[in-house]
Amino acid sequence: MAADVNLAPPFVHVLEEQWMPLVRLATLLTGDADAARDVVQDCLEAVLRLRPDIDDEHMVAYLRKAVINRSRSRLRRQRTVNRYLAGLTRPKDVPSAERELLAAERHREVLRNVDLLPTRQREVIVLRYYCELSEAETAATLGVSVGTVKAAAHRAINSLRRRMKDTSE
Amino acid sequence: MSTELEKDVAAALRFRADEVPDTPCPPLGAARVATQRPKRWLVPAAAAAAAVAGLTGAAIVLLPGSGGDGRDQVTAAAPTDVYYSRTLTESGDRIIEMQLWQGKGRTDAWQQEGVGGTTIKDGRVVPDNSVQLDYPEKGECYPAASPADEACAKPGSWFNPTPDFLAGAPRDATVIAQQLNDEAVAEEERRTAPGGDFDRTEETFSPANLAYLELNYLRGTLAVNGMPDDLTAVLRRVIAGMPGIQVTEGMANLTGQRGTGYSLPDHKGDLLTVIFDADSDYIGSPTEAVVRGMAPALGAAPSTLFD
Repeated sequence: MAADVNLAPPFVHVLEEQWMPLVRLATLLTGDADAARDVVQDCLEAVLRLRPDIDDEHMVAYLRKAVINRSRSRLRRQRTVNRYLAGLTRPKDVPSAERELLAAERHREVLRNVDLLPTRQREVIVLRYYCELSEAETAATLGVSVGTVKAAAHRAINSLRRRMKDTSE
Repeated sequence: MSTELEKDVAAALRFRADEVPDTPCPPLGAARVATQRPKRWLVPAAAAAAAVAGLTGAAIVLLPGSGGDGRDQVTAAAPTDVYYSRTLTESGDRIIEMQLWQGKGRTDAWQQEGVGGTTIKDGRVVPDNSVQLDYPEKGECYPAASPADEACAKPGSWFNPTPDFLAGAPRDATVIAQQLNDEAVAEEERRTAPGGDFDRTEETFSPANLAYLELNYLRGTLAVNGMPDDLTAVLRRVIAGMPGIQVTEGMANLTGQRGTGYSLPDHKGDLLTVIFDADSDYIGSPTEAVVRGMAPALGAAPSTLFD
């Protein structure tokens, strides 16, 4: 019986419950909801295929880490493409123009600048302020030290503050 | 979160996340069926197994009416056309029973049925409607959904025991042990490579860690339909020789069948166990019971069950 995807149905339900939270996380990391769905589906399939041993306690943390790694890979490939494009491309999945008009100008300004952050800083910002992870949890998720997280967050916030000040002036 | 800017960042990120339209989770995997999931060890340990052909071994024909609710009745003297297996797995406070029928060829059709419950009677799960299962019911090239799937084209190995692989697999325990070690090392290399899902540690390639990974794969390999009996016996010897293996006589599987348990601890001390009966047949673990046999057709009651 045991198969390549030997998983108890409750395990699959856990994966399915994580679908949209992870898609949203991947969207924030990649700036592209379509790419995010691909990334998350790849991750869930990989868990089915490769990690039947994982326990529920570590499931979400494992998935989050997998999504971050694959989002990073996706961004790396996208950057290669972007070298041949003029200027920085606008993320495909930012809110529509109509929604933007309804959204706070402050949010749009923040998001534009978050998109300009280096990958590591953006990951830290998303994990700290969207996922509301502690510095230690963020460090564990990214596989770096707490000091690295602190430094990346500090640089990111300073960068955002500087850019937004520049814009407002 | 102390500054206005940090609050703005959090709000902006939630704003963007909320803009992502809800979409249903796509179907995951081809055959999401139940077996035990051991506790996490230091490194990834993947699943194993696929459809297997080349069945050998003695069969015992069970008498009709052995099951309390008729689900376990064995049809008499029917042609044994497809492999049949039944796995009961404890998952939290629930027990999942999955029956799988699959043709002998790798790309043949397969079918499965599952029930969930909280109690076992006569070796079967007593169905409980409160336990809802979600699984694909049929396909081709188990566990893939179709021969076009990537899983169907994956070459055979100890960690992916295809019919061809098992048919030609060595029967020498030393050779198998080396091959298993090589596959475990390769798996760890792949999973801890840059961009992989795990960080390499000093324990990644330790003998204990690799042995745990191998045992976890073998747990799946031993349960595949069509696993030759002589190979099962050799694999038992390989497992018995693993570093740190703990042997327990008289250990019971989920349905109470007893045999010799072989266990390795994870980093928390929780044991990953496989149990063999006196004939060296694999019968599961304390949280799993595996029964195999033959059936006349997909979905039909088994005509024979192997002891």
